[in-house]
Amino acid sequence: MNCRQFKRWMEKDPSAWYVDVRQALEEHQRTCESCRILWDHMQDFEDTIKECRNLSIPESVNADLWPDVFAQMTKSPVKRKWIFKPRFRLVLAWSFSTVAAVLVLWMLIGNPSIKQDMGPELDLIVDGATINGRDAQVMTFQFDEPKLSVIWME
Amino acid sequence: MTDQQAIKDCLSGNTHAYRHLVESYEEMAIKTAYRFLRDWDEARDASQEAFIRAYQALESFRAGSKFSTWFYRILVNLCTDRVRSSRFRKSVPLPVRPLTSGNPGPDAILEYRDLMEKALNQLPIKRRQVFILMDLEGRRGKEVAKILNINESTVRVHRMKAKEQLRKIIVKLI
Repeated sequence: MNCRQFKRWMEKDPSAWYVDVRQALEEHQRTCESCRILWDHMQDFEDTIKECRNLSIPESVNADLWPDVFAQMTKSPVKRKWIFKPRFRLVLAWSFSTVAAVLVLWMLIGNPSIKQDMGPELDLIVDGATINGRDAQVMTFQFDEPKLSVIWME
Repeated sequence: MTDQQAIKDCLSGNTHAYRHLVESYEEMAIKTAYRFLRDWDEARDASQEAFIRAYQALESFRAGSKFSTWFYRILVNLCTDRVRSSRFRKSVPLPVRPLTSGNPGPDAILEYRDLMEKALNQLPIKRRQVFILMDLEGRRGKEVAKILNINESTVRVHRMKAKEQLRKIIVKLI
């Protein structure tokens, strides 16, 4: 193992080192002074992580939260989310689906004005015309969206 | 009194039963919040808010799960929101001078502790969450996955990436 490889492995988490890699790293740091310094630093870093687990709250910080929490609790009680209870959810789902079904049926059957409006808006112009000496009835359909005119002659 | 019993009592109107839950987890909560916020007063304030939020949402707590996991999820999310807020977003510069101590000892530990606190700010939030919960708090991957609501394998990946990023910062400084 050379110094470049050593440095690359040192950047990786030790849990990613294979057994033979670990042996090669240990061997290399024994023979190379600059890599040994890096090795020691990384050992220090790992020790620091372990040491950081022992965290203690300073005495100046009041760790007793109950009085403050209780004061807030009385101001804002538990939000009663009855809507999330399973039996209410079922009732709610049934009600919504019934209302939706009735609405759709009313739109389709009960209200004919809606049925007429279901297509695109069109104007119908009926006019008379003489084509090749014969009287003809011309019907012009004009759609608003898309802009389109259809002329029908009889 | 168990956590489940305390929750049941709370939901039936006995607000004092919540005291058991607060007293069981307040110390851990403040420590966890401190690891994210690096300020003891902020950590206390965040923990207090987390307990209040948990109390208000107690109805949505599922009886089969652990209160601690559910509570820590609320706490970690709250801390993350605070970290993301402008007050905590100012980046702390990493030291420019190389690390001097090569030998283990109290000075080296202090130097690394300071460096790690600064380097942690450079990590993306998910990696930071995983690193704090696993490496600094010593929680297991399964628990961290539940707290953060992600896969256990994703937790492992975030942890490895976090460690690598931190180690790279140190290697650069030497």
